[in-house]
Amino acid sequence: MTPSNFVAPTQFTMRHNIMKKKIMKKRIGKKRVHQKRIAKKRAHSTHRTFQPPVQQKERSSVYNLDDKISGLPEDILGRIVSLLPLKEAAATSTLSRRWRYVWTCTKNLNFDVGEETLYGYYEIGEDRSKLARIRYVQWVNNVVNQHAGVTIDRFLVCYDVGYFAFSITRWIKFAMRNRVQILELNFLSTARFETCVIDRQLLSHRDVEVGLRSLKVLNLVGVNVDGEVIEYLLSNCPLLERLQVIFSSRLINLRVVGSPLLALKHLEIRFCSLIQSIEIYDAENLVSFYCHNLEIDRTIRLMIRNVPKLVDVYIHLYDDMFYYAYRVFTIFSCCLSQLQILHLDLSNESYMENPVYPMLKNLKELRVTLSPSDSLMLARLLPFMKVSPYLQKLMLMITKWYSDEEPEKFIKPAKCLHDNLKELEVFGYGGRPNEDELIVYYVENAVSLEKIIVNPSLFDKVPYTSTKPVKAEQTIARRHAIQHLQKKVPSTIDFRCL
Amino acid sequence: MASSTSGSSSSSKVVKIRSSDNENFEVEEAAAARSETIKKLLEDVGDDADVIPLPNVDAKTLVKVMEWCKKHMDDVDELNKEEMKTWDAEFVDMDQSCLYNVLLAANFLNIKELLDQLTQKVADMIKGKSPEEIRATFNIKNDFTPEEEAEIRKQNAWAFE
Repeated sequence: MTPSNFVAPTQFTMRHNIMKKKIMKKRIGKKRVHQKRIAKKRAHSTHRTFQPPVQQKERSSVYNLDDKISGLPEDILGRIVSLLPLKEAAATSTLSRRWRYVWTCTKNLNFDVGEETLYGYYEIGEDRSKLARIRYVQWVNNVVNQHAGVTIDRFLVCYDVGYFAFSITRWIKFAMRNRVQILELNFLSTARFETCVIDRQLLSHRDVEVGLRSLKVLNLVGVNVDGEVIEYLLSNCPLLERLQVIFSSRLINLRVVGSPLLALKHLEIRFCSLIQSIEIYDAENLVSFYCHNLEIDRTIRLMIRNVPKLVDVYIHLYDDMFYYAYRVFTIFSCCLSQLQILHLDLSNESYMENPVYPMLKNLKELRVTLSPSDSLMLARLLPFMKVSPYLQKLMLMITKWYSDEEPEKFIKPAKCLHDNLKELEVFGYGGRPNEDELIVYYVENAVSLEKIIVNPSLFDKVPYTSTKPVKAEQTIARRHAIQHLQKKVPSTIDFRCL
Repeated sequence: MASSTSGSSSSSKVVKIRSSDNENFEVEEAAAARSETIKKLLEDVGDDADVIPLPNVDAKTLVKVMEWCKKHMDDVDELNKEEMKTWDAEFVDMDQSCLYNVLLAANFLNIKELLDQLTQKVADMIKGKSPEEIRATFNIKNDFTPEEEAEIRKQNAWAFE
């Protein structure tokens, strides 16, 4: 026995005979592999075809005694490869004949390439990005062509693909035909090219139609859908719980109206620049509704009635800088007392002294977007906190700092106790004096505060922005938080900097 | 303490199961019912059930599976979730032949959560490894000729970048 074949006894606990037997088997196995490899090498150096097939079969059966995984039933192997990232799943095809096609049963088709997605043409130049796009589309097509056609749990594409309307339509048909549960099509901002359109004609295609009954989550970014299509989806997908529409320039009027088939729990509409109205009636399962719109000079009509389960809302309107908060409260007047999570964007709002807001007696979490240059950050915040006596968590989302000017000096308001506040999170923390003073204010005034999380990551990632310079800023902010801010927080409070 | 009281109340009812190698076990019904297969059988035979035979699961494996079922018998509250996670991680950390037997048993007995944990364990053993390392981990014999292997690599070159 050569040293490479020797299994050191210390590697195994030899308490059981079974184990001993196993080791013996392993040793024999290893020896066989060694011999086999040599045989194989020799065979290849001369003529591979000379190897008698009978002998090959005999050897493989002996060797495979220890290979338990390959003996597992097809559906379990399918489950296992579905838990691997797509690349690693496909790489299992080279393991052995048994594994050749296992990966094509994967239920998890995630074509997300992470950071690379964001390198649009301004970063790598038009020609290279064109090539990158072709490669991406070919990759997805290659996988779709090889897929075994079992039901799939998730199909996700995330790339600025540009012009491949024909391929994209094929992907949608493929995913729907295989009864996809989570369909995520993220073409970043390519809606302006009208590349991808989901219309009634596509939805009535027989491949797509069969999938409507399985669809649970539909996230569309840069996919053009109009109000009629969304209404059709909502009333024909009995399991559809989550719908996200971002960057659709065809969405003008959206109606979400209760029907026996309306399962919708989460609705998010963002950056649909031409939207004029949103009506939500009798949506009995709706839990959260987020609406974020970029247009400044347009008034959106929003009507919300009979939403008994709605507890989590965010509306961002640019059209009314004076009465934004009042408008939000008017829109949700039918459900204010049931709200548990409220997100307000106060980064553009004109300051109003001593506003009076209705009571939010169930509010547990308040998220507020603020501008870092705002000296009145806290003065804006406090009226909302006053009407939320049971608030447990406050999340401050600080927008990116665009100006070189020094921020205005922080104005400290009168002391005010926040009895139930347990957690404070500052998202988009930049290490500026205003932010630090705000945090210190809560350390001094929130008697039950248990946890402070400081997160320098940007919360509103805009597509096509390189993350490199931002990353440098984040490192500085992080260092500042640890060196200067942490000292001001008593050790009884759990302070974390992400 | 809610978990211990509900545990003792359900412990009043016991079911008998028999492994493929004819060993009999007495298990609390709430634990055994984590298996959809046993649950259905119990519903079908009702209280007349004497011993439920499980022809696909040997005693050693059954002990393991029932250990998991007993632990997961009650609903876990938020506080105990972390503890349960640690327990689960230790539970799936077993030698390969045992892992596959429990995996097959979980599949046969239809215990979805256990099946999820075990398949995740196997996936974690594959993750981040090269094909050669995966073969070594699981004793998989490469029965492709080098030409065949090269051809497959070519077809899915993106998977090997």
